[in-house]
Amino acid sequence: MKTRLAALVGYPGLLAGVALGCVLLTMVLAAFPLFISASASELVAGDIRGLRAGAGIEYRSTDVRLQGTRRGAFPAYTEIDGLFRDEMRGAPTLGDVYRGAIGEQLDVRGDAHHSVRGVMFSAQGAMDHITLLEGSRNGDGVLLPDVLAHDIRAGAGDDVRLRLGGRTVTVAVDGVYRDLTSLPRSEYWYPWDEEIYPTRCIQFDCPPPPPLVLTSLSRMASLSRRLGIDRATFTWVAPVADGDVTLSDARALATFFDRFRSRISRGGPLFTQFQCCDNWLPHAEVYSAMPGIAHVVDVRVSQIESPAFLLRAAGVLVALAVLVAAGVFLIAARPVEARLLVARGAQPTRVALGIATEVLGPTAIACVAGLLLSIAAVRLVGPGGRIEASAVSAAVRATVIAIPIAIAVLVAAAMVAFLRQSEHHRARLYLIARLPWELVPVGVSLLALRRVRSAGAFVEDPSGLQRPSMWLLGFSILFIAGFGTLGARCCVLGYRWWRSRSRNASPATYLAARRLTAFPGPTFALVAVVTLCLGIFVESLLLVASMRATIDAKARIFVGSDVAGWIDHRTPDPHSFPLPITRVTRVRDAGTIAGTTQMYDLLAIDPSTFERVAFWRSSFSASSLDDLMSDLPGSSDRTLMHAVVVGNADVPSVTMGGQVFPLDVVGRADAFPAMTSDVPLVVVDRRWMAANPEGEKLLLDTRATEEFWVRGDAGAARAALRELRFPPYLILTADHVKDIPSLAAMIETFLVLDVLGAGAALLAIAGTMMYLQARQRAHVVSYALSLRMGMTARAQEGSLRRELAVMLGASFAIGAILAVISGVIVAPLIEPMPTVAPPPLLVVPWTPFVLGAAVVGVATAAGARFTTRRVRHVELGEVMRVAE
Amino acid sequence: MLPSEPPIAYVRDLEKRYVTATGAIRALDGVSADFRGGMITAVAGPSGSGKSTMLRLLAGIDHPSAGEVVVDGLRLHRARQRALRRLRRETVGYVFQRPSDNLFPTRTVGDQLLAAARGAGSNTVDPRSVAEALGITDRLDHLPSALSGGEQQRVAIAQMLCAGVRVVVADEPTAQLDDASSTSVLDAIVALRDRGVTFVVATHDDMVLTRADDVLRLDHGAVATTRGHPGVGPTPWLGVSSFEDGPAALAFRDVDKTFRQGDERIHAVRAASFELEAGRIGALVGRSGSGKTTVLHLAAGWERPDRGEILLGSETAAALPAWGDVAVLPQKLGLLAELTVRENVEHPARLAGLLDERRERIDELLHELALDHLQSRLPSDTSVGEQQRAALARALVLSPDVVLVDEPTTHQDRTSARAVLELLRRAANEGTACLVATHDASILRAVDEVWQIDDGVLTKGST
Repeated sequence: MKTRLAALVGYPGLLAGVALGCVLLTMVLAAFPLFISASASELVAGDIRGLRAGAGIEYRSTDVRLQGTRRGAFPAYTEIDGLFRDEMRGAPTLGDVYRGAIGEQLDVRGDAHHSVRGVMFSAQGAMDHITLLEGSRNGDGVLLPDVLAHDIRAGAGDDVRLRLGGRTVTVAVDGVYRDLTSLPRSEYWYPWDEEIYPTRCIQFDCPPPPPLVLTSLSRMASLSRRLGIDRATFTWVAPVADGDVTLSDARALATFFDRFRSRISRGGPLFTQFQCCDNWLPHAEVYSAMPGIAHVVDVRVSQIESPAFLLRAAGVLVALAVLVAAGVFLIAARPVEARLLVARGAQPTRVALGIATEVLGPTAIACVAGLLLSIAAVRLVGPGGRIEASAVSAAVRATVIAIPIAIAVLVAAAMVAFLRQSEHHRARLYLIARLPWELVPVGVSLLALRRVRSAGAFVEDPSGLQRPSMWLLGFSILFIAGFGTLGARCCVLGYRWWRSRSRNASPATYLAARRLTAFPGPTFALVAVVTLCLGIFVESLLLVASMRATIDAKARIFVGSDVAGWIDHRTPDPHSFPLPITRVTRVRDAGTIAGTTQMYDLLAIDPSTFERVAFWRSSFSASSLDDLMSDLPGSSDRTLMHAVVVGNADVPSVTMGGQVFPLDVVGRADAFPAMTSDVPLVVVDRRWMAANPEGEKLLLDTRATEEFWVRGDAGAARAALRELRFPPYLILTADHVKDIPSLAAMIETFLVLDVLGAGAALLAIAGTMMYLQARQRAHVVSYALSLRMGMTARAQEGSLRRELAVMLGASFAIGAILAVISGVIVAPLIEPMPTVAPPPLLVVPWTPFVLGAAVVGVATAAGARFTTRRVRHVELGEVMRVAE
Repeated sequence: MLPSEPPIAYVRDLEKRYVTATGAIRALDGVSADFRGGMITAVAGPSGSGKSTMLRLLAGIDHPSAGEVVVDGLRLHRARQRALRRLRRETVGYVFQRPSDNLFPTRTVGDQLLAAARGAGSNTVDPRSVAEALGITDRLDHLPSALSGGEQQRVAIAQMLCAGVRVVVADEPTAQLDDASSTSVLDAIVALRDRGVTFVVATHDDMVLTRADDVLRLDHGAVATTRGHPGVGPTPWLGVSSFEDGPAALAFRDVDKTFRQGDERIHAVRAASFELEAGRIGALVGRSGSGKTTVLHLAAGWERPDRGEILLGSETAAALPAWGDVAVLPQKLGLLAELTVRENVEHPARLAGLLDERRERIDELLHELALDHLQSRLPSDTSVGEQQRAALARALVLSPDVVLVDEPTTHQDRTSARAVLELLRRAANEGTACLVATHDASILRAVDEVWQIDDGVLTKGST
């Protein structure tokens, strides 16, 4: 037993193979929860960065008494203070509670008899979160912001008068602080964002809120009382505590907040004194950004999880492949033992038990090493977020599970290799291998296609994201696997034909043809595997390129161009603009097609500038955009509308403001910028619209949006639009439209598949080279003798190059053809935004094709050189001596 | 046991076909034979006649395509794998041709004998007494690599005895042994036969044939003769070289060669000097490990001498002489697995651009070495003896000045061995100098010169 446990020590190669497989398997299994946890924590950390106050819990109530005890419906702040602090004590991951009070707006007047509006404010710790310019923080008066102090020409040591209604109080200015709006926002002030910044203002000329006159709460109470008020709006803030917050923490806090809110909204036991809902006085509200953060992070994690799951599945497959290879080599590296065991009638169960005993120690050690490595890998190169204890537990559980899985796979693979030593089992396995197994994936792929066509290509995950269904992914993989295997069989037949024709070929070609056909099993397997991997790689590239092109086209059609700025209809056209710009008005449901109830959308454009700005593809229309634009203007008849009609509907005339306008259709298009639904779009000249009373009325209608469209770099376009005298109130870019989680998730899934395909293809090519290397090693005497007989090293390398080129070239060609066929079938099924034109586009990415071919070429040359190296430098005498 | 007693094993109308990449091979074709218990039955026949297949079927390792195989009452052709495994565990032991193939390389001899006894589930056999009977007591603590080939084969047989098997099936157990080692193994076999163990031994070794109780002769997968001994005798004299005396084709002058093996320095060849003239066959004779192969490797240019000079003709040998100057039949044959037998033979001619002009010679070589019917098979589909003959044909295809041949008859039956020696004589007559390394003293009648080699020291001997 002891001997068996240490049996592999004498076989470092075997030990390395077993260890590699186990480490890979454990890393793949264990790293997944660690990576997801770290990612989630990082996302949470990113979302609460600068927002610890908002991400915590805020309670705000109006009409809270500044002094004394409850009076009627108005509680005293001390009463709520205690209750809130007690409540928050039970909350997870919250820090110390602080409180602030904001008073009524009042006039602040200095010596200059010039007054400015201000608002009294007091909060715990506020003095520590200002930049004091002059005076002191600890006086008995007030602190003024510099803008206010400047306007009323007051400074530290001066007196100012505060006036509210008919009452005035005089108070000393203790100091002047830097106005908060001129400083970067800070977490502390977040609860009073609206009182400090013009956050709710969407107009460009909106004034900022009155600045804060800071004072202590007791001073604020006394000043307020003298001004005739005894209440203020109080805010209690329980910020998120310092330190890392995990997604579980975020969820726990969100749940706590939901319970807290629902309890106080029901008038729960703690807050019976006052109500939170809008219809009650005093008005109170409770807020936390954490539920939103937790939800957003959940969605983003879900986005990460799906591709990561695919990666994990692929990683597990690779690890299992390594383990299978290691298992086979457990027998193959010890042929004498294996033959002896067969000859002596060893029971398979005993052999399996022996192998399990041999691999137990190395497997356990390697799996533990894999766990440690996965932790190190996630910590060193993964996301920087905190890893939750539950994730570590999951990783440990995965490691514990990986050990028996690895042993089972090793033993199973070793047993197959062992049974192959027996002629009886070898014959059976040979028969099994000869069955046309490829028909199974072919059949299942066709079933998958049927399913996709009937049930759709997408499924919705628990977070509501649309994802490609497993049937869709399955179709691609099985289609390429099945037909690729059939192709590999055809290749082997082709190679046999080549062998028969290469009798008089050069030694290099002659040997390559013979090697390919003398070992048809490995040739077939390698061609099939490389075909599958390269096929998946190419197909994923094709689908990603097609989806990107489709989404890009849809996004640009939605926006109209690269950037759209929504403007007021009174906004004048800019005199100059650094980028191509045009002005359009889109009107949703502008009217109906005359004589029907079918609505139409209207796009009023400036034909003279539209062409060089709008997004356009030649597939949108049989006519060029130039032709369409040149025919659009020109009608002097106020009742006849020149128009381009987009969509399939027949539109002889349309209604507009109750009037019917016949259309002179100057062109038709299947898709057009600003087409956002399947409703027909009528494109007209805006000058004609402006000249027509009904048209002008429609352009000013509330359904109409006036937009500047800009062509060019999105950043530059945004900056230029912001520089306008009257900048747009909303700027939309194609990237905004594309940044939809569902679309991102779809593209990411195919990108991951692409990466997997590329990785697997590289592995398969490396595997092919390793196979050639192993074969060369096994037959080193034959090849070295061949060199002695007159075979040049160049010819030897040439033969390997031809062999590799024929295998990899055929694999790449078959894989690429199958990928294109599969892509042609699948691409039309992937419709990310059915209501927005154009329909899915098919884009063949020629560059990766060429790159892929180049990689195959380089791999062929490098593989041949690498493999020949051993034979080139072999010491024949030494090899012979060792062999004998 | 009386001859009239029922045999412990028999085969009836036995057929075995293999399907290979180059077609189907009929290894056995309607063989019927009995194997008497407690006797040694030799299975003889040329290479590729089906000897090894017969043994594998008797051991239950392979399954017949048709016919019956019965061993110790068990009908192997119908038995399930479980029963066949039990048969191999408890009743039939199999001894491979290569001595080192019969032992677990990482376990000591004692451990292997103990494991065999334990596997039998019987305490009646004491491994130590078996070791004593076979003269390997002093090797119990050694790993197999420290044992000679003869000792390894005796340990293999000892394991069978410890495992309590009643039938031992051995595939050419003496093929790779020198005479002394062969004798020790045969003594062990006879001793065990006397204790009631049945032996079925595939062989073309005269020493085995003379000691066998029965001989089953196979030819092309069918029974040629049953019962009795074929004529056993020395290798015939094949005449002297008809090539006129010429200059020395190969000469060693005071050549030394040492190797490092672990911490040990092995002096493989010591001050070796000899000359072999064109048209003559010289033999290097010595036991295993005496330095014969090293001399061949030095002559082939695969090893460089530490001291001394090697001449090809009148010139110092080039680092790697061309195949047309010095061709080799190494012990490790080095046939290209992807080429058929014929393509392997053609290979040097193809590389030299002489394929067309050598076609006739290739046909002759294949015919003379009885390889015509195998020419389209891959080497892996032929027997070791056939592969060895193909490698010899490959060595002679360019009519080299010197041909170096390592143990050319090891895997050959007498007919094939004769064909091999005749071919060498023909080559010599055409002017090729043939240097043969062998431990088979019986072929000395067929050579012109003999050098005895012992611990690297070369001395002139007599034919």
